Amino acid sequence: MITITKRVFPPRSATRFIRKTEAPSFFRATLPTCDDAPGKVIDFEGTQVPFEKGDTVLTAVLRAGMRPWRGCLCADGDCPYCLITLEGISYVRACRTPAVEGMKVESHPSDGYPALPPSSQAPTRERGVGFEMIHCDIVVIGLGRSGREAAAEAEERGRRVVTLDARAGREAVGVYPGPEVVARTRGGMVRMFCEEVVVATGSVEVQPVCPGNQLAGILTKRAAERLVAAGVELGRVVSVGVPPDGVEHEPARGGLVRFVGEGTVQRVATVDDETGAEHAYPCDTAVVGLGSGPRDTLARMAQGLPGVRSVGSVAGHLDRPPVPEAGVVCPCSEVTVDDLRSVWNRGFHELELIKRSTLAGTGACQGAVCMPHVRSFVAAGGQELPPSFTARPVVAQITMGEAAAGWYHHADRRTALHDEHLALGARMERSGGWLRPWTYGDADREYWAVRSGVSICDVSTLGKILVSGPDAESCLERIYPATIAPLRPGRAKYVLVLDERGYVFDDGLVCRDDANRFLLTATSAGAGYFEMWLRDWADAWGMDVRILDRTASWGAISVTGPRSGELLSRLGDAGRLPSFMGHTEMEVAGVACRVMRLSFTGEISYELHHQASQSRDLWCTLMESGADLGVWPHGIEVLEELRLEKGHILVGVDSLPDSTPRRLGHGWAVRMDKGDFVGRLAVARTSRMDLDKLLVGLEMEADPPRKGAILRVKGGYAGFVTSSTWSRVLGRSVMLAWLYVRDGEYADDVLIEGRPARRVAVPFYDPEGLRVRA
Amino acid sequence: MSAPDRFERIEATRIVAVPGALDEIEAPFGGHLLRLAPDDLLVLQPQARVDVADRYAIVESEAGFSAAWFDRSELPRLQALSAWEFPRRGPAFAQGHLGGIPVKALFYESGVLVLVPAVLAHHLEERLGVGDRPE
Repeated sequence: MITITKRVFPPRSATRFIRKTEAPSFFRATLPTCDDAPGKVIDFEGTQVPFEKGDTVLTAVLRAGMRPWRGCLCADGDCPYCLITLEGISYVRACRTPAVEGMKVESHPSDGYPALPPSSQAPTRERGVGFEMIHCDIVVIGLGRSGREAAAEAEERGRRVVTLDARAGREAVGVYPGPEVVARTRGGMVRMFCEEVVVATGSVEVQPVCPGNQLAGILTKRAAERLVAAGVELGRVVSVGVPPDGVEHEPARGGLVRFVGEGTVQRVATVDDETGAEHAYPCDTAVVGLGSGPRDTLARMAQGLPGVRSVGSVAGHLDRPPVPEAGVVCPCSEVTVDDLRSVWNRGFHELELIKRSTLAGTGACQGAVCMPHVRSFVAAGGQELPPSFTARPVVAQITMGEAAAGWYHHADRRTALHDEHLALGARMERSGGWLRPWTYGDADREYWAVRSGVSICDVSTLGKILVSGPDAESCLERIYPATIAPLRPGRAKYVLVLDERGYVFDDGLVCRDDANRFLLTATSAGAGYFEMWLRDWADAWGMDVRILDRTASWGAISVTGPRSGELLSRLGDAGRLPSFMGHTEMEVAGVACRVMRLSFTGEISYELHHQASQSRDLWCTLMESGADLGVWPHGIEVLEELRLEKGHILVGVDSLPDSTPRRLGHGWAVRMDKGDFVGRLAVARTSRMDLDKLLVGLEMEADPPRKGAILRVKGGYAGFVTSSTWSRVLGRSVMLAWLYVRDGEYADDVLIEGRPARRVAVPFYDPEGLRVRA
Repeated sequence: MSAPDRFERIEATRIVAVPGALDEIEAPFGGHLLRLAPDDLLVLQPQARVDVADRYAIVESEAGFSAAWFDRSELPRLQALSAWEFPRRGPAFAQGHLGGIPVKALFYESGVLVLVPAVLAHHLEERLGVGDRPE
């Protein structure tokens, strides 16, 4: 498994890219920096290759007289020929990689794909990819003459300029709306936010397409010039087309026909344009100067984006090469001229169709080699050439670690009692976007504290939303399918939340404070969405209400069990404790609380809502004051068991995306004799339909089946289990399950995992509700 | 010391009311007003006594934020984790993500006060390298 992480601290080096009016020495860095001590070597496929100051891996290997790469090398990051595997990372360009002492390099296999890196080389927190965000006025991509001029001009105007140049190890890989530029640097990935992007990426040389173009020993004109300047011996050089400067060579007359050799080029064949005579030129290296076209991938990526402009060669036109006659057109996808003819003859005449049917242009070089030739091929067929394709990010191969740099894992919220849970030995689990105590290590103790004594539970994660205003009541009447108006101050009511299709997506309580103010609760996982949904509707209806989400600001502790009242009476005015489904504001242990009397566990329960800053004091006082009562906290593992015994549903666990109140057995929570509410029409419509499935209670004597276990009736599928547990108090397994109609009826007896289970009424425990109302 | 040890939960006052009523509120002595939204105001003072010309206003003690102060020298490090550009001059108030965590930031010439939902403070501490609490 690959783990993607990021480095905590960004590399400070990246901030050095921002310049205002510093000396222009920055622009001179056209070659990668590298180790410069004499005698240093890199390991190239087991051979120790020495390198010199300023060398790339490509330069060092070629200087050593090795010719491991086939095809016409450009030495400028455009062609796909010098790809290497560097320290386990493949698709790295040797021409863009500065030689560093001891680095291990392998060329890609000629007959297949390079191997994936072993998991031991997966990024970790310690070896993650650096990341930084930079804000500036202008980003200049490319430091050729046009780029330098654009940067200098902007600096003269006092603009903050960031310059990128792939040859200097700062390679732009994407341009996005904003504008925003993403670059790969030696310090990691950098996102740049700016007002203007200047694309000055220059031109890319046209590659030769003819028989033999996959031999080693072929260079573009600029590659030959660079390599010779770096001291690489090319041997006997024959040039075709525009000759290279500063390179001793023999010019070949006429047009290029083929390269000849075994593995490495040995002769260049040309044809005289006038006489048609063919000439052969023996050589060690063939150099081709066939013209150039714009290196416009980034410019095409930014087509139509405001604030992005192209300057210099990148804004120029393509020297369209002659129509290819034979040879490999696209080395990345191994597409030949014969392949182009084949798809053409089958009716694929448009550039886009030819690309898709042959995959030409979809490989590592993204069409830099093949697309000029494919365009010539299409044009020769009489087809009108469309504008160049819009390019998609990214323009260069990046690693998964680089793609993930700067992205964080989902942030789990912690309640104010997190440290208290840890101190009590809790095992924390992610639940509904929060870290919550799953168990404190002794589920039996936690369970029986609730059923026979007193227990506390951190329920701070519950959604808590205040609504106030002259339209508060009428707003909630339209939000909920239950009636709100009859609810008196100090009382609470269970409510479902329906979407426009009449499906249940949340549930909670409505607590009335006074005529115009309410507290709404929602599920832990659904609170954020519910708040947005509530605001949306209030705005849409033009309701005069104020809404404030208190979920993260208020802590909440549930005190539950038959002795819960006894514990609270020690810490506050027992006479003020509310009755079932009531709520009041009172002090508990000196902490101002909203005390709500309700029950999720099936026992007498009080929820103490309070300022989160006081959660720890309240929690500790409850633990200390209830010590002689055997108070002990319970985690959500036991809480799920307790609520299931009472048949309480968990929305999102027991419900499905198409669960209507009727399917859930909660039709009683919908009042169709009130005014309009969200989902009313859908409820009215679905109420006229036969029920095809129902959430039901099941029990069996044996161990509980897994959640998701299949229900079978007469051998056929009849539903599945949503929640299941062994009930310690009942001595049998209980569960909720979706039961489908079979043969026009709901079966009373089903098989689950081959074992019999019977349908029973819920709640399983205390069906009369005597304990919660005691 | 320029970098804080960790974020600390703060006591403040939260007021949700009609925008016009919030417009008229003046900062209490020693308190700062942070306008989170047209109808939402955070007063950096516990149980602030302010007059709100909205009878339906929600005025609540606010303990949902943690805060930490960063000296000006720390700003470049924070900026490198932010997709929005910090104000160049203070005092200024801004809201956005820092290290992928939603924050509110009060910029002064000498530094910045960063407020974060207390339930997410541990993540921001880790991402900013504040304190020594592992995530």
